[in-house]
Amino acid sequence: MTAAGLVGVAALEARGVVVRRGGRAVVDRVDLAVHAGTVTALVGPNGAGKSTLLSVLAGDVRPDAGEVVVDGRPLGDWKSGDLARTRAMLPQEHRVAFGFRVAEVVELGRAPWRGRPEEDHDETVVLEAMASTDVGHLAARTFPTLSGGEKARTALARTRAQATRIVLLDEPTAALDVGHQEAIMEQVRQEAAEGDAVVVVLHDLSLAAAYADRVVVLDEGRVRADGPPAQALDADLLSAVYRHPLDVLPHPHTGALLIVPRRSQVSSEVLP
Amino acid sequence: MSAPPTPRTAPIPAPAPSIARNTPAALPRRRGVGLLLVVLGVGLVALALIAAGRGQLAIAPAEVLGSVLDRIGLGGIGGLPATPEHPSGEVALWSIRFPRVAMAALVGASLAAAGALMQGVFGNPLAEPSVVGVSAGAAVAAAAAIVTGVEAFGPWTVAVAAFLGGLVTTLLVYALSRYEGRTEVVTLLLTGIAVNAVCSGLLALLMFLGDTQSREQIVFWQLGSLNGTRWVYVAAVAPAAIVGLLGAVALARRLDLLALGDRSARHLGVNPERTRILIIVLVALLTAAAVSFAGIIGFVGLIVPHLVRMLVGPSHRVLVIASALGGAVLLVLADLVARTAVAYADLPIGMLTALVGGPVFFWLLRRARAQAGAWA
Repeated sequence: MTAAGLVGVAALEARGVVVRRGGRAVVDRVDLAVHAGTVTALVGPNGAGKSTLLSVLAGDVRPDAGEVVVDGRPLGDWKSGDLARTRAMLPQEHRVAFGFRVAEVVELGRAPWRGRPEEDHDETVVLEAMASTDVGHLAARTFPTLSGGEKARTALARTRAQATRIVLLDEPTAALDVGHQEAIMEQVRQEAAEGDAVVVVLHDLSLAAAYADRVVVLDEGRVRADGPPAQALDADLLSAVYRHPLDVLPHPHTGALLIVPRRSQVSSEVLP
Repeated sequence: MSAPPTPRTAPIPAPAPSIARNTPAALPRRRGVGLLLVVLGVGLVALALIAAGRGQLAIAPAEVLGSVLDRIGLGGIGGLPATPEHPSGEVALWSIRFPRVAMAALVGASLAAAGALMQGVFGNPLAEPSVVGVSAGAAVAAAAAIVTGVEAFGPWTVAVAAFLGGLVTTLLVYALSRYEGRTEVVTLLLTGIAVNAVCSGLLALLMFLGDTQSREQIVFWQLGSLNGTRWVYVAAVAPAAIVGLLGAVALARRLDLLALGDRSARHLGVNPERTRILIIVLVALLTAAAVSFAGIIGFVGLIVPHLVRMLVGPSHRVLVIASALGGAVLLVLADLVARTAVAYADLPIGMLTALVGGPVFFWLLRRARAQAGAWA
């Protein structure tokens, strides 16, 4: 999986990116090259700079130093329309003003393709995007009436409908139940298998271990570990970064990595 | 790595069933969009013919139609008379009634479209030129032009002043009522109260300063009326209204993307700030077109887009077009009532729309409140 990533120009690259907020570097000299066909997970504690880094990669936040390069061209050289056909971004918050229907919200993802040959496939792409995120049955519902998880899936469907080669997802699984978390991450893997470059911010370390080719552990704006899950998700490093003891265990049957916080130490140590 | 766990987990479950439920074979489409546009378009024409015939001198719709057809070179079709039976009918129609109906349609279309645009820019269904004080701001500037007697732009001076006043007020409201990229209902309405208060104070000052004639003109404005409309006024209003409406239709789709929030709009290739400024200029242009000769006519831009949204959804392209048609219908109708409800009296049309629009506004507030998430 990772071997494919080593070939060719990086789809998306951060070079020495620094973002300062209130005199503090929230992203501190981060280098990150993301290749087509891979899933890169950004993990780390609250305030580690994951979302800020993703915003820099998306072009929402201009870095105080360093640059972001998309397909070998600096972000600033891109026209907004071309960029919108190249990278999609799922924000953390999902708000839609007015009572747009789910299908209409997802269709908005096709806006960058208006007036191009790809526009002919709009309906197919939108239906596929809705099916893959399990919002098809909600198509005629209005967005404000949806639950948090349904909103998140609708927003994800919109980024899928945008049909871009680079996909940035800020906590796509945050509001989802376990079944939908797995289904969505399966979809993310599928997108990467089709050649997309995916960067995803995750809080669930086991999800990152299961679905990412590469895990980048951020803490206080810096990259603390970067590599395949088995290498980057080291128990000592994670315990230090999260300021809480964590165990990294192989699943007894599948061998998949499970990251578990150590709990009830008091009761097991104090009680006889 | 830590110590291995005691394997007490359940056996591996069967592969998860496909989670996706029934996806429709085709996208659900809003029905009735075409029907609504046709009904509004035909209704506007029919209503205009009827309205033009009503008044102290009654002219049958068939005679009105005959006269129109005759003027556009299609005289005699269907055996319709080329001129009304009454000797003064033709003059009444073409020098008094038609300009007034045309002005009502233009003003109504402009106000309703401006309301739809403003709601899109603020992402808030309660934004409207008269509610947030843009109409008042335009009126203040126009009144100032009258009182001071400035004639920098000749006969266009008042209209230009109204446009500038509307533009400044809209930008001001926009700057004051947005907080962290969004506009809360409460902030918007309170900003509107403040702006309206200042503007009514300024209008009072201008009335105090002005001579009797300009004072009367300002009062006339505050009430809003289409009384005394002539073709020259229609000709002055029409270009601004038409440019504003065409621009509104052209930019409407971008407003759909703005509904996703600025970040997502940008990710989809739209520059949110530039779009907002363009729309604000259009709102000012449309409001100025409506206010400069007809005065403050409130709530049209609130009621019409809201009804349209209830019927065919919030997509802005349809919304702007249907609102413009609906606004024209509403104002032609309101003006018909204004000048025929009481014999030998011309009621101020702004009074009528406020009497009807105020309660509707209240109902909207209640309704929006009840449907949590539908606003804010």
